[in-house]
Amino acid sequence: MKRRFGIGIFLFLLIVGIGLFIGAQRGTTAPEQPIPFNHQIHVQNLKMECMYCHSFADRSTVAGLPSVRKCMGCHKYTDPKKPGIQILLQYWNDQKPIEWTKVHDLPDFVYFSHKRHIRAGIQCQTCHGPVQEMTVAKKVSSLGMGWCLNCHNQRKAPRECWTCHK
Amino acid sequence: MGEITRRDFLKILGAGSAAAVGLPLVACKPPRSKVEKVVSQLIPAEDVVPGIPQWYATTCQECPAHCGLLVKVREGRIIKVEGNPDHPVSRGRHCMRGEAALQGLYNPDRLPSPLLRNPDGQLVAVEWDQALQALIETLKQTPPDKIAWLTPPLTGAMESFLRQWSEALGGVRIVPYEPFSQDALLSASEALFGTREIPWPDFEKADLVVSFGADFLETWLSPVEFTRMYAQRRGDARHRLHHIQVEARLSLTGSKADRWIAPRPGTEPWLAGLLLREMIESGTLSHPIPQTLRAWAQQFDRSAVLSFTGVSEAEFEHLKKAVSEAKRPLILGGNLGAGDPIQVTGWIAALALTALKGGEQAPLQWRGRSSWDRAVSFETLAKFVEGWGEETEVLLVYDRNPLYAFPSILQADEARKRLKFMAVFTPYPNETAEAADVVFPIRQFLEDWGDAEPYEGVYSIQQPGMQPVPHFQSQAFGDLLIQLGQQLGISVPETFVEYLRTHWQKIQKKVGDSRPFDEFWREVLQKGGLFKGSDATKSIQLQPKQLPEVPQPDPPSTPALVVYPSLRLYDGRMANRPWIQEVPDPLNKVSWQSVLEVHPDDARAWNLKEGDVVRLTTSRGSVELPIRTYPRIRRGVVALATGQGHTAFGRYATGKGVNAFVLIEAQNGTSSLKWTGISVQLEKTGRRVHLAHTDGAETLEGRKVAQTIPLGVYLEHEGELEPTYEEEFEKEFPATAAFYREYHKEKFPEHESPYHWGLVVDTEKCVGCAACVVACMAENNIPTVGEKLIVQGREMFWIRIERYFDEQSHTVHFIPMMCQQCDNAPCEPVCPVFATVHSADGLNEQVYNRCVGTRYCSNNCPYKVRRFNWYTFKFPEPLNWQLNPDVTVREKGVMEKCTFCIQRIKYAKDRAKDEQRLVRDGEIQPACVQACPAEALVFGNTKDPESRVAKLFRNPRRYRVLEHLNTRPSVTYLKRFTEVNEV
Repeated sequence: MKRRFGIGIFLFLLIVGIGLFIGAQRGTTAPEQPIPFNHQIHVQNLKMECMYCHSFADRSTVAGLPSVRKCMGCHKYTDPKKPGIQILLQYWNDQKPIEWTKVHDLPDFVYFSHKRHIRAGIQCQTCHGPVQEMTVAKKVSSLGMGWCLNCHNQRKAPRECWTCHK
Repeated sequence: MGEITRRDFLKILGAGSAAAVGLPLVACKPPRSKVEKVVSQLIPAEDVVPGIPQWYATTCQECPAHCGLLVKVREGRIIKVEGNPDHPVSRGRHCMRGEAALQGLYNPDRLPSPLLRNPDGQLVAVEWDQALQALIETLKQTPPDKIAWLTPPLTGAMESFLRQWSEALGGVRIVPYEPFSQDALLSASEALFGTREIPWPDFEKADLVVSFGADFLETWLSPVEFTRMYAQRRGDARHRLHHIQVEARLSLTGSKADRWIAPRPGTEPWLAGLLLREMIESGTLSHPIPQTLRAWAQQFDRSAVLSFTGVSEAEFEHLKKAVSEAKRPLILGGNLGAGDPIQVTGWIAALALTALKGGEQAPLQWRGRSSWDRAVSFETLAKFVEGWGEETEVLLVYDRNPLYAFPSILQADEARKRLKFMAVFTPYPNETAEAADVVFPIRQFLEDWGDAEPYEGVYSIQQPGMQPVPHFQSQAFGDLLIQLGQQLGISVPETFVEYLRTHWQKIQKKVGDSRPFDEFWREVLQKGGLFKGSDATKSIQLQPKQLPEVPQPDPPSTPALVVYPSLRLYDGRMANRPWIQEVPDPLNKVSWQSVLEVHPDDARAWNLKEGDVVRLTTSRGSVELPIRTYPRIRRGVVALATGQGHTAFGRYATGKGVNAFVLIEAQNGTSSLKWTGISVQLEKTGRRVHLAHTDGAETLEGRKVAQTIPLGVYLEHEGELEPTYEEEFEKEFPATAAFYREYHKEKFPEHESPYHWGLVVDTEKCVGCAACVVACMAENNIPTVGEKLIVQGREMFWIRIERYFDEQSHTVHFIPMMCQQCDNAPCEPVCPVFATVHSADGLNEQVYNRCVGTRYCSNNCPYKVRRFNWYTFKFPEPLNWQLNPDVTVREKGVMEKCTFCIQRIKYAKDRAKDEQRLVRDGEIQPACVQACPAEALVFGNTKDPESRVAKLFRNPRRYRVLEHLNTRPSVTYLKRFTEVNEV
């Protein structure tokens, strides 16, 4: 009997261990990016609008990232010696697009429209956190279903399954 | 002690799992298994907003009908093909083959690079320069008159460009060929009307159509256009088009007919001739009868014809009566028959009778030169192949597969060995490319420029919807010709697009458009072409000169083989598209395989069972294939479709079924093809195979799944409105109705939706062509499961065409069956995890990420429309490029089903919300509704009393399938008409 109990404990600990391991593997909420882009400088110091760069946010499902050409629109005239800008210049000289690492990644079975949320008057910061203060883009909300529904319930937004799943 | 029993193990495991579930770390949060990248654009394309589709108009090149298409592009990839509503041929619709053009574009077996035969005789991948050099050297060393092109019947810019190119080179010949050629029809037209043009049928004018074999709803001339016209006339109860089909094996077209006459195969033309003679002699024809025609018709002797056609007096009398009572009957001959004197006879009789009955008003129209009359006759082709090695030393093949699709009487395999050199221009590997000396991978039409002119006055542009698929080093065929021309020292334009523009400048001039060209061009690209229509005002004037002698019939043979063109695979060119292979034939319901259709009584008499493999031998060749019983075929006749039996056409086609072209023989004493009535021997091999069919029941077995209404009864009630289903329910079941109302209110207290989505299926209009099935697969990322899983009954179609053979008459009922979105859905209460729930709009939602795969819902669904993913199906690169980003790709263990294309509903609602209005009637078209060439499906909001569906829901023809189960479906079917005076 004792031995069986021991095996029980072992299995229990094993499963707990696996759980912790998976949890730890979930990845950081502020992944490393090819260019150490600083939102704080752009938004707080230079007073740029979010939608200057994420220009599709109010008209499409995706917010969009600025094209390299758009970055270069300003950075042609900025200090080229800064290390971050040098990387950008390298991309432009090579005529290569930048592969950013997703900070906010929804699973493929979730349908989310930026447009609907912006047009309902939701601030970007409601979901993305105080991006204007971030030196490194960081995920602050879980983006889990409970988190979404919490807000939908409060605002009496649609809560039918097909609103987000199809 | 010490041993762990099974019971203990389960206890421990249970405790462990419970602990794991309790852990907050593994609870429901979005999984982040891998780090995803998001790539910024370098220089953004103008006017492109990621997440919002763009549409480009283009032209289908899969068959000579050339329907207008719209391609849907998301983030630079074509994800769907639809019909172009502005185009006069397709009017916004298409067939399953047009839809599957997309799988040609993304076909994983497309040639990745040019191939060249090395000194060891092996085809090896080479660089473009090397391949081109090999061809250029050969062309330089060969006298131009010894070089020939084999091409499809080209129209538009490519036709003139290739002609100029070939002439500049010093007279290279061009041989355009189409396996389903309309040579017999053209010859008959020439004999009767003095013009080698297609007299196009006009279903709008006719009041009766008698087809002696033409499958005008499947492959004949322009099936999408004809299906639309035909269905419209059939659905119009007051002016309903009567239809009689005369053929030995009932085709899909025939299955819609009011009457079916089954003569001995191949003898239909004599019956048409006899009909002409008797109509002339009856004296009821009010139009002048040319003497030549009168004399010609004398050759058909009643008793002789009736005896060898095997048609009874009564049947013939019925046919005669129907034709004499009709004002403007449209009589059609056979669908195939390249230069076949027998088919020519049939067409002469058919066209002459049509013209004599209708006179000026005859339901035929001239449309000038069409893509069909550009193809050479079979006789010319036979001579051409015979000359390989002598008149032709170098053969250049563009977009044709002669070593597969040439009937074996041409002995193309042998003839190829006599050729000094063969170059093949094709996007795909195929039997001809395998035997070539050099193979050039060309672009598929969805990624290339071009145009088409299906008939005069319809100029249809073909523009690329995307950059060429990067997996393959393909080049545009036109640009290749230019490269070759430059190296051979002939004058050529810079690019083919430049030539195309020049060609369209000429068109602009021709139609008298004086705008600046760029403005004109922009409009052409936007609309998909210039659709002026033919200005041929020629009337239908009989002027027969010399009519060909009527041939003697072959002696009858039993069994006799009928080879019929496949609605799915066409001449075999579609066999490498998994959708097409997966979709079962609408009549015999078999997918992926070839089957020999045998009458059930014959099968019994010959001691054959379904699935028994037989050896089928004709004078030309022999194949082995399983039999399938098919009740709509004349006794003693067996039938086989074209298109399968490829030996080198990529993973989806190779090794599937048998090639019917091997069996076709020459018509007795002529150099023309005999498609029907081929004398065959059947031998049992003793082997058996499992048929990959999706057939449920053969007949209705007394259930009212398919319902009919006598035309006369309907006409009495036309215009009346039945009570709504709710009113009817309230009246008939007052007690349960109250419960039902309360139940509904309780379930959705907050969201009173202004919508309740409904679908109407008109079974009178539905011809069973299955375009909807393929459109649904394309739109909803439905995987193809392959032959083995179909045998196991694990197909994944969200919509299927149920086929029931009527027990009283020859008719076949087609019931498109998709999720019925029941208001009282049996699937919903049995789901233990609430993965399938009801929406306020009346839809059964299926939440894939919630589903745990108990399959209770599927077991409880009386319509059997739910599909379970037994595996995680893979889409081999680049076939995955086709996937619709708006629809979840399901994985193993998940139940899936139709939700009326919820992504399209959502898209329309999103737009309506932006414009602060409700969704308009007709604004949403689920993929099936959009595709349907018969316009048999209507979708809309049943809560809006003015919507089309709301009205059709109260039509006297309405019924719901399995209504007695109180499922309260949102899909309403309209009953099919029966003619009251029909037996």
